[in-house]
Amino acid sequence: MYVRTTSSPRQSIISHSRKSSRHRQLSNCSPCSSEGLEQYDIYGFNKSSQHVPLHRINEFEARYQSIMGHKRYQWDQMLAENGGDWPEKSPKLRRYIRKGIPRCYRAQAWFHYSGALGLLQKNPHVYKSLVQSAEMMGSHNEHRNLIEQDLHRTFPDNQHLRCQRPEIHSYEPYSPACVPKIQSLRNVLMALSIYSPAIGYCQSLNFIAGMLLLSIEDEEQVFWVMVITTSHILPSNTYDITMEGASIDQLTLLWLIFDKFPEIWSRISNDVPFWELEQYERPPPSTLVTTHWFLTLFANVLPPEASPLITVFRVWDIFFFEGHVVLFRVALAILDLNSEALLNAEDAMEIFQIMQILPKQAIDCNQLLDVCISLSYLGYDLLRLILEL
Amino acid sequence: MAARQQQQQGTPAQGKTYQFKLVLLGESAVGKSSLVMRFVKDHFDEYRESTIGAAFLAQTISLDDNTTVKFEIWDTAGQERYKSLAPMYYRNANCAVVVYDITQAASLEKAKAWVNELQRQADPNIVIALAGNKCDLDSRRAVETETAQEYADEAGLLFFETSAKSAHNVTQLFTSIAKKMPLDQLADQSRNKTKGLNPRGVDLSRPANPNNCACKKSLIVL
Repeated sequence: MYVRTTSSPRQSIISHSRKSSRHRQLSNCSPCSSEGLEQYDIYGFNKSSQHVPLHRINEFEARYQSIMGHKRYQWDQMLAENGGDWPEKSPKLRRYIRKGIPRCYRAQAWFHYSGALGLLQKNPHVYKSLVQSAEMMGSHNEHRNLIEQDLHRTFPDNQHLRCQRPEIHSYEPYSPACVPKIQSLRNVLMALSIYSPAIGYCQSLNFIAGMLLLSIEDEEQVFWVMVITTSHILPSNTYDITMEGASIDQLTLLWLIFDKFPEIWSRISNDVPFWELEQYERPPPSTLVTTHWFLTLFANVLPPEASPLITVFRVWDIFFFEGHVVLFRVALAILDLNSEALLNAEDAMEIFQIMQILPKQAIDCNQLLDVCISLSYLGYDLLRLILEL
Repeated sequence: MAARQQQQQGTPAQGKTYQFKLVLLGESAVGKSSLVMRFVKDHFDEYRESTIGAAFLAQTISLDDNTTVKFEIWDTAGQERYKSLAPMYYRNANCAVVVYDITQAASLEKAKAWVNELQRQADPNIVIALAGNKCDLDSRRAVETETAQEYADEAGLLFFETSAKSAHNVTQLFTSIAKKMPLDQLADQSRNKTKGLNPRGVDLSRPANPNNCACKKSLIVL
């Protein structure tokens, strides 16, 4: 089974240097893996965490692997029915994606359905020249220092992103041969800072790019997924200097909490009705937590531990296919699943503390995603538009 | 100031616990989160994830047999553009630690800007400490101790050079802040101010200082 590339644009992609990487991606597809219950997952994250005991992760992993084996079979069938090509968007495909893209197809499915593939086809040589420009600019790039500082602060416990440089305070570049993923992360973030000058660099993009690099591998593809994410999928101004898009998202989320979970709302807001927030000129402190959730697309919020269940990747499956509405759904699902703890909290500060920790314990991605999908709330987009006016 | 005094359970009747909101501000990567980790958990990671939004931790210190101070610590994101969230951090803060990196001269300038903003916008009684972090890297020092001390004296700040890595001066920094808090006055104030004050000392009902919170615009339209 393979994903055939019959259309000419796609052939043009294959004919470029990504051919080998594509083959590598597809070769992962068989046999359907069972990578053993080891300390590190296949993405290089340490499975044991302070939030979830390893045995619970291993138990879930064993269960989840058999579920994913079945899904893998369904995907094989679907792709075969479509002549080995990616199917057009349809309710069936959406259903499949919501249930989780099998790992072997995930990276390419994101790349295809997000629209990043299309962008790369229109701009075949752009990434390479951006990387070269970034190298030539050196310290003339005003974002360089911050990017360099964040390279070793992006999943520092991950095997592939762990900094091997003994000296952390020098801003001299790492040796690329030494830590290839960090060099890729540098390239992607530097290139993005030049390609999107309005954004430049915003802390949190490092976590998204880092996580993408662990899955998609080809840094050029990661770059275009970053471009499509920041400029098309998420509202404009999310990461720019104003961060206004991010603020409006938070306001939208607050309204949804107010509307859907009045009891939780009353706890986090200290009984201030949503419509009276203006009087107090501020959203409740929990917004600082949920801002983090949204800006990183949950990248360092949901648990990265435990190989096949990568909760955050299940969220991203939907994000790249359906758009950013899933962020609201996941946020609401996290609150819903933990409503008891939140309602028993003593005050807004304890709620803040609980909200910091609880997503890390959401190892059961099926449960989270089921709740998330059942939260049918028509009109996130409409609501957001109203709030944006 | 929205501080709160309470009788500490299980201690002699005269034992009192005061709770204060403390906010950490400063440029990115100067070591704000590392200082908090050293103070709260006595732990240091060579590499820490960059803070997005804010993190919240609490730590208690005993000043003497009868007096305990509990800090509710808001650790913030350092990047400039996250500044639109800043009023949320320092609103109602009783004390602030403004951090710079002794190996980065520009970070002191940034710290001064934070001090100015706090003195202009935050609670007028706020206690501010300046912390020159990473003092274990003395060989790469770019800010002389005297320069920072002079500035701190002028601006009326507590001042310490600290190292989250070696733990140098970290406890001293927070203890000095606790000692500088006007505990008696606060006790009087908090007695008269129970309505609208939530039990942890963060007063959600109190109108805030003018600020540039990005949601304000949208709310006004609504």
